[in-house]
Amino acid sequence: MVTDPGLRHWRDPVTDIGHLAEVAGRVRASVETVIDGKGEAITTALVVLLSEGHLLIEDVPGVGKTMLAKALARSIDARVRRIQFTPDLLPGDVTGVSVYNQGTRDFEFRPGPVFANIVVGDEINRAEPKAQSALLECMEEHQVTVDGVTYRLEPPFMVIATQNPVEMEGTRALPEAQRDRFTARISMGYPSPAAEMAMLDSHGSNNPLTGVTPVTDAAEIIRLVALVRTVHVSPEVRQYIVDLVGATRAHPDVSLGASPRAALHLIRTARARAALDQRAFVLPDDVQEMAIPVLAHRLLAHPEILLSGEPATEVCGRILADILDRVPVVRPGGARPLRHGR
Amino acid sequence: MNRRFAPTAVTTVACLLSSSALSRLFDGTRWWLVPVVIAVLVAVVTATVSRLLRLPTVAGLVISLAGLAVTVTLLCARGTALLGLIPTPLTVSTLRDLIADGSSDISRLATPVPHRPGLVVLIVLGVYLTTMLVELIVVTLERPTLGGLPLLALYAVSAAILPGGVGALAFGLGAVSFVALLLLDGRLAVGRWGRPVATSTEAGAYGSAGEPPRPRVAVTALGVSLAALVVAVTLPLALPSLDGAGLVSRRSGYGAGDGPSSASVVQPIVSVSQQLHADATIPLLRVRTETPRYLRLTALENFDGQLFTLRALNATRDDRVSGGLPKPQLGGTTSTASAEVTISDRFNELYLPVPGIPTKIKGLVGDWRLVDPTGTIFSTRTSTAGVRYQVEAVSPDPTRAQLLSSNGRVPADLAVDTLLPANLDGRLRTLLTTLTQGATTTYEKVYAIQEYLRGPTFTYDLQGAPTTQDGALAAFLFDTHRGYCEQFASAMTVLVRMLGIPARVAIGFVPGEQQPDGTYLVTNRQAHAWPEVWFPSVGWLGFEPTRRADGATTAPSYAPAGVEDPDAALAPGPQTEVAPEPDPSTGSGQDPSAAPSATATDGASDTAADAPHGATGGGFPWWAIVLLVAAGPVLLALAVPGLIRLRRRRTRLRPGRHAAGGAGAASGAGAHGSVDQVHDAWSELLDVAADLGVTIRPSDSPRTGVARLSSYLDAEPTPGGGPVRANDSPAISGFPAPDEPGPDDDLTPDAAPSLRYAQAREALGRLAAAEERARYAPPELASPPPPAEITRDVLIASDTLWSIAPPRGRRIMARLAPASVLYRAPRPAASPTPDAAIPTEEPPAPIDPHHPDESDTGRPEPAISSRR
Repeated sequence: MVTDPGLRHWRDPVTDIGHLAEVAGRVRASVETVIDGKGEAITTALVVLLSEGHLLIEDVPGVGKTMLAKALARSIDARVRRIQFTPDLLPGDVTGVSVYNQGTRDFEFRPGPVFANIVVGDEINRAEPKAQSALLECMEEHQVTVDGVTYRLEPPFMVIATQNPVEMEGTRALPEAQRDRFTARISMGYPSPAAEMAMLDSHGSNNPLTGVTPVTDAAEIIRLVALVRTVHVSPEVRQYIVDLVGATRAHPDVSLGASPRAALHLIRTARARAALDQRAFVLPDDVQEMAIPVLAHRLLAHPEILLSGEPATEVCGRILADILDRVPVVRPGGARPLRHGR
Repeated sequence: MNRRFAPTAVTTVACLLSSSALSRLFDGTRWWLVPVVIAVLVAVVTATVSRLLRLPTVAGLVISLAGLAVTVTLLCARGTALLGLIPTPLTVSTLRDLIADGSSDISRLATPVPHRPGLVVLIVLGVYLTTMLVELIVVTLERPTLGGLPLLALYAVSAAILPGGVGALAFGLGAVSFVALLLLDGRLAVGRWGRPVATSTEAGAYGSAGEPPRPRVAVTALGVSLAALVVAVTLPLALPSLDGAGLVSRRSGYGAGDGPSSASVVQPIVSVSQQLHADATIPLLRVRTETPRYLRLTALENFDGQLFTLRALNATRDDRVSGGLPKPQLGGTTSTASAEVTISDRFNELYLPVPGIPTKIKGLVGDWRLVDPTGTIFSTRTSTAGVRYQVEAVSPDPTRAQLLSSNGRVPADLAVDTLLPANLDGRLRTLLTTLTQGATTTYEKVYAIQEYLRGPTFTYDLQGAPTTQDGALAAFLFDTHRGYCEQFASAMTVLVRMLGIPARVAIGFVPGEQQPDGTYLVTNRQAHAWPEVWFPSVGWLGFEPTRRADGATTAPSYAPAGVEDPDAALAPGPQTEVAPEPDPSTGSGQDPSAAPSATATDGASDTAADAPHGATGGGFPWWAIVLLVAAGPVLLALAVPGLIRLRRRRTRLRPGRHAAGGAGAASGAGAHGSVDQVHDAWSELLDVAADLGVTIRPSDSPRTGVARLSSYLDAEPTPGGGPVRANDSPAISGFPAPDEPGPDDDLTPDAAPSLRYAQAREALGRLAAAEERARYAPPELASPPPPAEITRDVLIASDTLWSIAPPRGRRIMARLAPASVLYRAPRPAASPTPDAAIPTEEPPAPIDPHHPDESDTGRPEPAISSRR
C-alpha cells in the first residue's frame, strides 16, 4: 500500500489539505479575474496542475484558450515560457540547440523555451509533427536530450497547450502519442451572455492579464503536488478505474482505447480532485468527474462512426458518458472488502 | 365519472362473464347463478364504497369481508340471522355444517351437480373472494391484466374437471372479459403517461370537451382481438378432436355426442336404437361361456319424459378395475356367471359388456373404472374395440318367496331412480290402477306390469316403432301398441317408478346365438334394453317386458311369463326369483317428490331427491379445493416478498446487530459506530429506492444515488431544492449546509412538509457521506457515526420517501411486491455479525493512534465536503 507511509507524513491531513484548498482557491480567484464563468475549466486546469500533468485546451478560436493558459501561468510565481507553434517551427526551437561557441571552441547548449516551469504552447497543432514531437520526451520524462546529452527540467513542469479543432483550416491532428501525453483536454465553450457582457465591460479597454499577479510560487506547488500524492485511493476505486479504462478498450465504437498511462493520469487527477474537495480519499465521483477530460482525447472512434460528421470530440464524450453509465462503481459479486487488504 | 368508474365496471362485468365458466359444473341455473351475481355485486360495491370514502386499506378489507359475511348469511342461512342479515353464533355453526356438507358433496357428486345448499356457500365464498382479488388488482393496484389471473383460476377449475372443457360460450365470454381487462390496461398505461394526444383530424371531434376520442388504435385492437376470438372458438370445431366431440367426429357410427353426461358422448339408448335399425348385421362380440346371460353395458337412470339417459359416470382412480372389484351387496340367493368376451374392432363403445354385476375381471388393459351404483365398467380413454377379457359376474337370483317377502325402505340414495317428470300423461295413472288391481305386494305389482306388457296387446315391431318424440310413451301404451325393447323397457320403468319403486333401464345385449364352436356371437341385432327394479334386501333385479319375435327375450325365472311363455324358467335371461312384499312407500304414487324419502328432512329435500351414489367422486372435487384450499398458500406466496423485505429491514436496523452498537446504542451520542452498520443502512436505503421505483444504477456512487433520491423528494414542491446531479458542483445540495438546522434537531412528526423534506435531505446526505467514508476512506478516517444516528437517519429518510410515494396503489404494490426483493439480486451481507448478541464496551476496531478524530468524543466529523 502506497498510501500509508504518505499518510503518516501528514502532520494533520485536514489542516494540510485545507491549506491546499486555500492555495487553489487563490489561484482560482486570480484566474477568474480574467476568465468569467468558466469554473469547471479552471477546476480541471487546477487539477492538472496539482497532478503534475499537462493540459490541452481545445476550442474554436477566440474563446479565451490562451487567456486561460496565460492567466494560470501568471498566477504562479515561476518561470513561464511561451511557444507559438507555427508551420515553420523546428524541434530545436522548442528544446534548444547546441551552437558553436567561438570563444570556447566548443558546442554550447542553448536551452529552448521548454526549460521553464510552465510552458504555454499556443496553437500547437499548427506546427509540423516533427516540431510537435519535440515535446514528447520532455512532457513525459521531464527531460530534454539534445546531441546525446540529457538535461533535466526543473519541477514543477507543466505544458499548457492550446489548439483549434482539427476541422479548422491549417491544423494537423496531433499524433496519438502526443495526445496521450496530455493529462487532460478541456474545451472552453462560449461564455454565457452575462459573462460575455461582463467581459466586454471590463476587458474592452485594457488587457486584463496585466492585472494578474502571482498568488503562489513554484515551491508551494511542489509541496502541494507531494501532498496530493498521499491522497488515499481505495482498492474499490482502483478497480473502478481499471474497469473504466478497460471498458473503453472493449467498447464497440472505439478502435483505440485508453492506454495504461491514461489510467495513471486518471488516478492522479482523481487524487487532485479529491484534495481540491478537501478530502483525503478518492471517491468514484472524482473519477467520474475526471474521466471525460482525461480519457476523451485519447480515444479513437471507429471511422464509420465519424462518417456521420459529428465532431470526434463529441463522439468520444458520448462514448465515455455511456461507459460511465454502465460500469458499476462496485463490482457486482466482488463484494466490498471493508477492511482493505492489508 | 365514467372514466373514473371504468375499472370498477370492467371488473364487475369480467367477474360476471367469467362466472359462466361454472355453468357446466352445475345442473340448473338459477340456484347458483343468482348467488354468484349477488356475490360479485356486493364485493364490488363494498370495495368501491370504501374507496370512495377513502378508508385505509385495512378498513376497506374489513368492510369487504363484512360484506361477504352478510352475503353468505343472507343467501344461505337467513333463518338463523338477526333480521335476516346479521350473523349470529347459530349462523356460524350452520354455515360450518353447510360447508362440511358442501365439501362432502364435492367428493361424492358427479358433474353436473344439482342444487345443494352446501355448495352455494362454497360458490359464494369462492366467487366473492375471487371478485375481491380481481377488484384489488384491477382498481386499486391498476394492473388490469394481472386481474385475469384469478379469473383464469375459475376457468382452470372447470376446464380441469369437465372432460369437454368449459364450452365455447363460457370460453367466449371469458375471453371477452379478458379483452376488456386488456383494453383497460392499455388505457391506464396511456393515462400514466399523460393525456392521449389527438391528431388534428380527431382534435375537432372533441375539442375542449375533455372527453378523449375513442382512439383509432383501440378500435383496431378491439377488432383484432374479436377476430382472434371468433377464430379461436370456431376453428377447433372444424378440426378432428381427440374425444370425437368436434364437428368431424371419428365416431361417425354412433352419432355425435351432445349428452350432458361427463363420461359418454353417445346416448346409449340412441345407440341401441341405431344398432337395431342398422341395415347390416355386424358381429360385435364373441362370448365363450357356460351360462349365457344378458350382457349388461350400463343402466340409464335419468328420465326427461321421453328418453332415459345416463347419469354422469364418475369414478376416481381408486375405482380402477385393475385394483380389484368390490363385493356386490346382494341379499337373497344369487347366481354367478363367467364368460370370456372378445370384442370386435367394430364395437367401439365406452362400456364393457358384463353378464351381471362384475366381481372379477382379468386380461383387461387400460384405465377401466367401475361405477358402483350402476355396475358399469367404463373408460373415457380407451374404447372397447378389440378388447378381450375374462369376467366373473353375479346376479341376484331370488326365489318368488323371497321377493314376495322383500320388505324395507328405499334408501335415500336411490331416490333418483323414482324420479318422474311432473307432466306425465294422466292415462298412465288409470292404467296403473287397473293393472295392479288385486296385487298387494311390490313384487306382485311389478310382475303384473311385466305381464301386461308381454301380453297380446303389444306387438314387437322394429319398423313401426315410435320415435323419441313428445308423447311417444303414451302413444306406445295407448294407441299403437307397437314397439321394441326401448319402448317396452321405458314403459315398464316409468310404471314401476309411479309406484314409488326404484327402477331404471339397463342396456346391453341378449345372449346371442351359439356358434358351431360353442361361442355365442353377439351382433348389433342383439342390442337390447330392459328394466331393472330394486327390491329391498335383494338389490337390482332385471325384468323382461319385451317379447322379441325371435324369442331371445324370455322372462326371468322369478317372474315367469304367465300364459304365453310357460317355458320361461329355462330362459337364459335375467335370473332371479320373485317374492314381493308391500313396500311402505308403494302407495306414494306418481308424485316423485313424495317418493320414498322417509329420511328426507325439510331443509334437505333435495338431498333425498338427488341423493348421489357414494364413491363416485372423481373430477369434480377439485374446484372448490382449488378455490379455497389453494387460496391460503397463494396468499402466503404472494406475501412472501413483502415479508422478506420486512425481515431484511428489521435485521438491518436492529440495534446492537453490530458489536459496535453495543452498550452505546441506547444512549446514542458518543458511541462509535461500525462500518458494517453503515453498509447495512446504505443497503436499506438502496432497497427503499428500488421499492419506490427510483433507479439507482450500479454505476452510481453514493452521492449520485442520494442526489437521485433528493431529486425524488424535490418532485414535491419544496423551497430550495432543484434536481441535482452530483457532478454539477463540488457540494451536494442535499447535504446539510452549515446554516441549516443541524442533524440533532428533533424531528417533529407534524413538521411542515418542507422542513421534513429538508431533514430527509440532510439525513440522506449524512448517510451518503457515511457510506462513502466507509467504503473509500482509509480505515483511520472511516469514523462511522453512532448507530443510533444511522438508524434515525434511515428512518427519517425512508419514512419521508415513502410518504411522498404518490398513488396508494403503487405504494401497496411496492409493499407487497418490493422490487428490491424481486428484481435486485440480494447484495452480499456486508459482513458476518459475529458478536451481535454480546454488547461490548469497547470500539470494535483498533483506532489508529494517528487518527485525528480520536480525541473527538462527540459526533465524528461530518463529510469533509460539508465543511466547505
